[in-house]
Amino acid sequence: MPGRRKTLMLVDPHSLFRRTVAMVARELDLADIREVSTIESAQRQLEHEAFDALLLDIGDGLASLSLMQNLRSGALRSAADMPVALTAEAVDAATLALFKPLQVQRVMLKPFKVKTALEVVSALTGAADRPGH
Amino acid sequence: MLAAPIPANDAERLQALRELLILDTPPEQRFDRIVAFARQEFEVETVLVSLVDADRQWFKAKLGLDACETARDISFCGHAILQPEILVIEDARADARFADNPLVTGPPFIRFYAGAPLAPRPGLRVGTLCLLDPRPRRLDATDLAILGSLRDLVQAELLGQRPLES
Repeated sequence: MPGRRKTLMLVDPHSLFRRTVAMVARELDLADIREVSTIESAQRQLEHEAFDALLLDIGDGLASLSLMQNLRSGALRSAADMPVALTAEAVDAATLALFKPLQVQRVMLKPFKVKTALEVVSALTGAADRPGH
Repeated sequence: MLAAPIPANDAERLQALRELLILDTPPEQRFDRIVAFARQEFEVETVLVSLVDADRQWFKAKLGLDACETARDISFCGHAILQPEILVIEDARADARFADNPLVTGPPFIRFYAGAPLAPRPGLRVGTLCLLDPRPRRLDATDLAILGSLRDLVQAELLGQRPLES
């Protein structure tokens, strides 16, 4: 449907960060955000529901890597080429190399501002290209 | 200096404030973490959850300020509760209401102020989540939306709605 607000799953353990990003994204008409606190919960929800974009905290790396591989293989309800950005407390080169073939648009190292996260949400959902943005 | 005006509904407003049972209570992590988050997001020197009592503003949460209260008549928040929208003073020295305010001419030397009113009931604004800085600042639409959302979270906590429980 042209012009509809896109849906984005935000996976992050920090509730204040999640809540603020979700509230502001809705107010600024950037996206409808589903807040998820764990990768395990994200996996379960993505098995049953499609989203337009994903902003994913990679945690220790292993579970999020598995989720990304499932997504890109078409095993989840969302499009296999769904735009994805990653966030991380820290990430080493070896971990980054594992994610590199999985078409990640951006990796954001914490701490970063809500404002920066909103710019990424806007880019992932294409909100920046819609009239009025 | 324009002393903070007293709104016509002040008695009702003060009743709403007292019904929250929060004045003069100890610091609480649920408010402190929102204040800390706002300070990091906006990179300002001071962030407060300020409640405007009859003759004072008292701080339920504070970062960057030692005082636990100041007089209402010199408070910026006493002005902010007069309107539902966020009050932004980009440079207090250039604003006739505040230029010779003792909080501007003396410590903490406020230049920038942004106060988002807290209204536990419609029209009854009991205080603010506010940002203070000794440098002039501007907020854009995204900044205002972020401050407004953080204010909504403080307000929900005031009402016992626990919006940040996972």
